[in-house]
Amino acid sequence: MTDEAALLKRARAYDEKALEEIYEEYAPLMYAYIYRRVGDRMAAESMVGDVFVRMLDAIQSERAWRTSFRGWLYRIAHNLIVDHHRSRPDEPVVPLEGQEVSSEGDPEEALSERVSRKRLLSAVRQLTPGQQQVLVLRFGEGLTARETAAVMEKSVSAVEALQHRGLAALRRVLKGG
Amino acid sequence: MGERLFDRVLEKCLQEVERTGDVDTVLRRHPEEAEALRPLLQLASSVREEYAEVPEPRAQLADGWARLRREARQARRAAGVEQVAVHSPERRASMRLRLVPTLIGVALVVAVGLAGMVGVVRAAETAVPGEPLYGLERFIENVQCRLTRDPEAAAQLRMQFAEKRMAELGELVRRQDQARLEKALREYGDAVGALPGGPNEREVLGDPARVQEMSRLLARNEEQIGYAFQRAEGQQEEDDGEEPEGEDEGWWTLEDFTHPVAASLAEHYDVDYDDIVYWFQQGYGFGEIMHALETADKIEDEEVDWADLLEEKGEDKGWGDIWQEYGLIGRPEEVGPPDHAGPKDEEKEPGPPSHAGPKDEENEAGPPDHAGPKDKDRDPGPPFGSPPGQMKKGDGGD
Repeated sequence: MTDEAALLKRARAYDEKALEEIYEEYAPLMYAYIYRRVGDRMAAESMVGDVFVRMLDAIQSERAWRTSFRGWLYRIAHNLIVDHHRSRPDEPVVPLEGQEVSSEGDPEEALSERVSRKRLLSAVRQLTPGQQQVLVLRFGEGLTARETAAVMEKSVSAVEALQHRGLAALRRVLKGG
Repeated sequence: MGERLFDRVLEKCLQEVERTGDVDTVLRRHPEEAEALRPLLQLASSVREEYAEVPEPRAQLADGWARLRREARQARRAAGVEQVAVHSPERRASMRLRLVPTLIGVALVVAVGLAGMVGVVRAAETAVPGEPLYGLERFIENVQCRLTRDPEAAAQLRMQFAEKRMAELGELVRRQDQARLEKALREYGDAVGALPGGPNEREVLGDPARVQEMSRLLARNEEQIGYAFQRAEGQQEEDDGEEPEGEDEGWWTLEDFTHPVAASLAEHYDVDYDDIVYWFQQGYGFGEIMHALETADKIEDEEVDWADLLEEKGEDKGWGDIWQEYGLIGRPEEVGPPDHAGPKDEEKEPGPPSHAGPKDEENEAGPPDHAGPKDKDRDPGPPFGSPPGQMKKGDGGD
């Protein structure tokens, strides 16, 4: 049994030490992932606790994860992010504070002048949840296309297609079209 | 080109750009698709760059752990599972004794909690091992480390944390808090192990500037450890009505004391702890000893061991000279001046470096080169004998 498998077995028995190890290992990862998806530090911190409480419940199921525990945690986090957005239907898609969003001009030109952080990230958040997830997992979390496919339970080619469509859509959003 | 094929090419290009950071070179390999690929690759690089910045989390992330633990306890109770906890009668007695500081700790948490979460985080930053908020401090550090992608920034962080561990150790020695000292020593040893260029990384020869920085940090810390311990010992003896021992007595004379850095080096390089202590006593600091261990590891000749290298180093050589001699780095004309190993011996103050004893005013000008014991009568160079258990090349000890 691998170290991780043994750790998870102990966690399944509610062993606090094992749970603490898991939390220390994965909470920073989940925090960064959620922050990149929701763009709100406080919400991200709070949702990390939700991920692990949900994990504690789901870990009892034999079908909890198949190959990657980390990938499984990303999926739990993703579901919570979707719930988070659903529970705030009136919230603007892009929470912005005093930023200048210019929809004019050529996107490449805008990029060469360095697109402002907020503008770029807010544009990402206008993409479909699937496209956002691919971009965050690939360019934020540094996962490979194969790892991303495992997290999203899709084929590698589907992930590559989503990635292409996501980047193309992002370009259109920045262009304002 | 069909969509599916374009998706594939884009993915390959993204991987290459991530590896090399050079969009133009990558696009030269795909001239027909370059126009369509370029904006997507640039966009991906920008997104990657922006995603690298994540604000540091605050105390709420630690709240998540508290929630998880609470839920686990409830679930455990509901499932009728008991947390395994077998304690001897002595341990139970000791735990009862520890209840008092725990209660004080709880009161502290409540009091600090009233001051708000910012206060909690600040209090955690100054906690020492064994205190209730210490876990939070370490947790926040852990998060900082994991979120720091830039290797240089991560190295700086680890240096900072080693300094913090040192300060905690000093604080506990000052308080003469023997109970928490052991944990603090372990924490310090771990922090040293994780230092950039330290034994966990095994890249001592990789970045000379880091080696220097690490050596300085270790030297400073050794001096402080020794000083703090001696002060505590002296204080104890004064309290007992005895004369404090002379200042030449070092930490190695303390009973039941395992030096965390020596232990960490012994473990990581699989050598005897006593050998490391021996060479430290001979006037070599841990930074130097670590250089020797790492250098010996890198030299393919199994006949050369780290003790030989230390002796060689004592013969007015710098580490740069030794590394050149064994072909680990090029000659100056090939690679520029060998500035990696710190000042050469001839540039140093003659005589042994300052050590873990009371701070010598003459040494205030800068950190010592290493932290071996002060021995005013020692010649600038060895001869050193073989340390206990250390077989020298050519000794024929079989």
